[in-house]
Formats: sequence, structure tokens, C-alpha cells
Amino acid sequence: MKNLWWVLPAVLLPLFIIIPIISIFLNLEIGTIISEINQPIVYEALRVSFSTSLISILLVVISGTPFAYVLASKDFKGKRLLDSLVDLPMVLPPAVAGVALLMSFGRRGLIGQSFGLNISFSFVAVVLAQIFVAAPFFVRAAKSSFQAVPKELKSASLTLGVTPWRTFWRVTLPLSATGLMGGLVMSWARALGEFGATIMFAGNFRGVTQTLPLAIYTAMESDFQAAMVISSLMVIISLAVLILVKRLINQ
Amino acid sequence: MTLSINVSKQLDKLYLQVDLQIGKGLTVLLGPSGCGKTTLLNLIAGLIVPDKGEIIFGNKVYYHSETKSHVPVYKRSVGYVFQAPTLFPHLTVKENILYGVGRQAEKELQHLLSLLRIEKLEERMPAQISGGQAQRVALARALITKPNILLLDEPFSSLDNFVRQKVRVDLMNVLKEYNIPGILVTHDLEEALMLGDKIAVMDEGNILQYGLAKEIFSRPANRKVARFVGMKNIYQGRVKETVPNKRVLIEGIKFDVEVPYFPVTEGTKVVFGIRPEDVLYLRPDRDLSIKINTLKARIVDIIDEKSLCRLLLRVTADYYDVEMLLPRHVVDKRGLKAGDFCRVSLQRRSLHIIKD
Repeated sequence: MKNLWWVLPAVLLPLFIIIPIISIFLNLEIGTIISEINQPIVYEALRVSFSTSLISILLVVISGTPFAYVLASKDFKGKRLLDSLVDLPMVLPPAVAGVALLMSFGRRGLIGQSFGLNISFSFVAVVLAQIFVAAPFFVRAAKSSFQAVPKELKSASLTLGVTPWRTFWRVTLPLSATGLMGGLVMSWARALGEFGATIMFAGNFRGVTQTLPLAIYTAMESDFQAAMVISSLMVIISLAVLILVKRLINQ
Repeated sequence: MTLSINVSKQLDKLYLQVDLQIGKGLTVLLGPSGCGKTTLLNLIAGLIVPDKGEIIFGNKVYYHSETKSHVPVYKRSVGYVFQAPTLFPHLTVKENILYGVGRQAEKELQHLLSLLRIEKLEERMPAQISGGQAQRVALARALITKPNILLLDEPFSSLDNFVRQKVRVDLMNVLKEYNIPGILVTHDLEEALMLGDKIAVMDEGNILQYGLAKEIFSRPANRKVARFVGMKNIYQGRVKETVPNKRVLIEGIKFDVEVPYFPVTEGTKVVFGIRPEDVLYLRPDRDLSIKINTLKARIVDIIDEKSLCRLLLRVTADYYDVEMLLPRHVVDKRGLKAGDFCRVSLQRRSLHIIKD
């Protein structure tokens, strides 16, 4: 019995994570869920969140896949630095990301000023904020799944008379597909949960830039039940994402 | 069609410089690991670009440093079977074989499947077949594209002995039928002698000797090659007497021998050798008439090797001086054991002068 002193701390951590999550659902009633989803603050946030995050993830995949492939298979000067810089948003406080985006794409920002653009506080700004914070999750996963495809398989394909471009589609992509899917789902979940960069760079306008996390923040002051409903929805989505990713990895 | 290679390439630990003309039949690249054999194959395939030189197949220039021409891998039509099986894990055996040619090669596919005895595996996934089967599939996949040349990088090294023998025979049959020039990398002497029409011995990025397989085995150009091809018995000596068109007498450091005549001045230092399987065991009850190049030796040790026994024989004061290979039944029948004395002959025609 004397060697069981570590049991208590080992049990504390999972409890500390599980109890708050369960407590969200304890304050909910089925009836309120249905009535709250019909509240404009909830369904508009759902609409904004899903449309922005899907556009974000699409752009992340289109641009991140070839970029990750280059990182995985080519050697060039400054590759390590570039690799680390692209990962930076993963560890950067989202508020800093928001400031950075304002300083580049805002009305008086680097790019905003030179092209006369004002992207900040718009739907596009939400998408940009999400791409900024979520892209590294996809690029990271894509890079490592491309690297996991044995080089000899690509060589074999080339010696069989198949071009590098077609080799990518016929060998590399199918063999890294599950890894890419995992990265995509993680990245999408991160985009969906984005809060700090969005509120600083895109603001909090219902129906335009107010995503689910922003709606929770707003509803806490006016409609507590709505905040609970949105929170529970996000827990369910996140849990589903985790289960899906684990399944993909185990395949 | 001849493949003509004359290239140099600086690698991490090796400077590779090769000048080689490869014609019909199977050429075996023999050498220790890390000597640049695989690199040479990769240069031919185009997976690595040389620093300098040229690679020309027939009238097609694959690479030429002067004209800066480099034909990419996928346009070279070079069949490559890698050391580790490289079947595409997400495709069936059939899809793997048809990967480079598409559906119209269905008839050729059936032919190759039966030739390589893998008919029933068509719908299996690579994870569901054995190593030997996987290499057969890889071979079929390369051959169906009708390559100009076939490169085989130790394709049998991961297979167990029994399977290896079978796949070798299959390879021989296929090569005969398709009549494609091939290069086989190996460090297995038996394989080299069995499969190779010609052998190129490679070491530290250079070709040491290139010639007919039998010639390399019995007439190695230098000590290094001699060691690679298993000519274990190598001795030093000095030419004592020459009898033109008849014989040369050599006074060895360990023992004297007579070899067939070759032009040499008396007093020259020479190195000579004999393969262990060429050392003749003289039966004590017979063979008494054989007098030339006979040695009386004590058996130091007998080592079992498959169907053969390797006898270590002591002639001088060294631990042992001569290695001899005998069929096991001879050892058993004669009751040979360590400590016994026996008489052996280093036959004149088996003794070889090594230029050193």
C-alpha cells in the first residue's frame, strides 16, 4: 500500500479535465437546446463559423499541400528557418497573431496601405485569421506524411516511365492520404475554435465576423443559455474530430 | 546494343570513377558493401546525376556533361529491381505490374505471371505475399515495360536460401527469353558465377577487373580481386627457372611450384594462387604417380560448409597455409580428421599468376 502515493495526483489531472466538460452539459435541457439554436446569435454564428472555416481549410489545403511537399522533398537554403517560421503561429499567442494581421492587412498595414485595401473587420478577415493560425497544423501533418512515403517507391515509379507529376498523384498522394486527412481535420478544428486573432483583426459583428467562439463570449453577458448551447456543440464537434483523427492514424 | 558508361561522381565517402562497356547478357557487379555498386546503378537509371562524363545506350545519350544533356529517369526506359521490395502497397499485384504500361498489356501480364509462377496472386495486396513473390512481381513490373536495360540491385539478399535458389532460376529463364542486357549487383560469389555472363569486380568506386565470369574466377588480375572471388590461397615467390613453351619453376617462400610457361625473366618476384576447390586431394592408396606440385600437409581443422568441407592444411610452421574444399562424402569415406596427414596437389593448370 505504501507505494500507492502517486495514485492521487495521477487521478487529479484527468478529473480536472473531465469535470468542466461534463459541467457544460449538466446545465442544459433538451428543450432549451432546440429553442436556443433558433436564436439569431446562435444560428448566425453557426453559419459564419462553418462558411469561414470551410473556405479557410480549402485555401490551406490548396496552398499548404504543395508547400508541404517542397518542405518534405526538396533541399534549399533557408529551409530550416522557413520551416520554423511557418510553425510559429502554433505557439504564438492568438492576440499577437491578431496584431500582426492588423499591421499587415489592416487599413494602415504593410499590404493594406500599399494596395489601398482594407480587409480588417470583414468576413475575409475572419478567413485570414483562421488560415494564419490553422495552416501550420495541416502543413506539419502533410510534411511528415509525405516524408513517410519511401523514396524507393517514387524511384520505382520513375523507372517505370511515369513522370514526377503523375508519380505524385499515383503514389505519393494515395500513400499519404490518411495523414493529410488527419492534418486537415486538426487544422479545421483549430480554425473553428479561433478566437483571439479573429476578435482583434475581424471584430465581433453578428452575421459577418461573429464566429461560434465569439458568440459564446458575447452571449455570456446577454443570453447565458445560448452560450451553454454553443459550448456544448463545440465540445461535441471537437470530440468527433479527435475520434476521427485517432481512427485515421490507427488505419 | 551497348551501354557505355564513363563517369565520375564525388560522394560523401567515396570517389566513384567508372569506365565500362556493357553488352548483351547479364553483367554481375561484384564487390563489398559501400564500394559504389548501387550508386553506379542509380547513375545509369538517372536517379543520381554524375559530376562528369557520359552515359550512352546504343545511339541514345542518357547523360553527357559536355553537352549538358541529362535524360530524366522516366524517359530512359531502364528497368530497376531494388534491394528491398518496392511494390506499391496500395495497389494489387496486378495493378503493380501494369503500373507502367496500363491495361493493354493484359496478355503480356498473363505470360509473365506464368513465367514467374505467380499466377494466383493477381488480386492480392503486396502485404499478403512473401518476399520471394514480391521480388518476382517487381521483376515482372519492370520487364513488362520492355526496358532497354534491366538493373537488379541485390534482389535476392532479403530472401532465405531456398527461395533465393528458385528466384534465381526464374530470373535466368526470364532474362533468356527477354534477351535484355542486365546488370546484377551482388556480393554473393555463387550467385555471380551462376548468373553472370560477365563479371565486373568493383572496389572503392573503381572497376578492378571486368571480363568473362569464369576468367575472373580463375584468373583474377590482382590480389584484391583474387580475395573477392574466393581465391584463398595466395603465395609469394621468385622465378627460379623458365623452360620456354613448357613450364616456369617458382621458388616460393613456403614451397616451390611449377606453372605453365609464361614469358618472364628469371629472378622476378611473382604472386601465385589457387582456388580451394582446385586443390587436389591425393588418395594414399592410389595417385602415387602424381609427383608435380605435391605437398605433404597436416590437417589443422575441418569446417563444414553446406555440402562441402573446408580443410585447413599446414605445410610450414604457420597456423595453416592451404585451404582445400572437398565434398563431404570424401572426408567421411577417408575418415579425415584434424591432426591427420595427407597429400595434396596444386595442379599446374589450376595455379594462376597474379599480377600485383
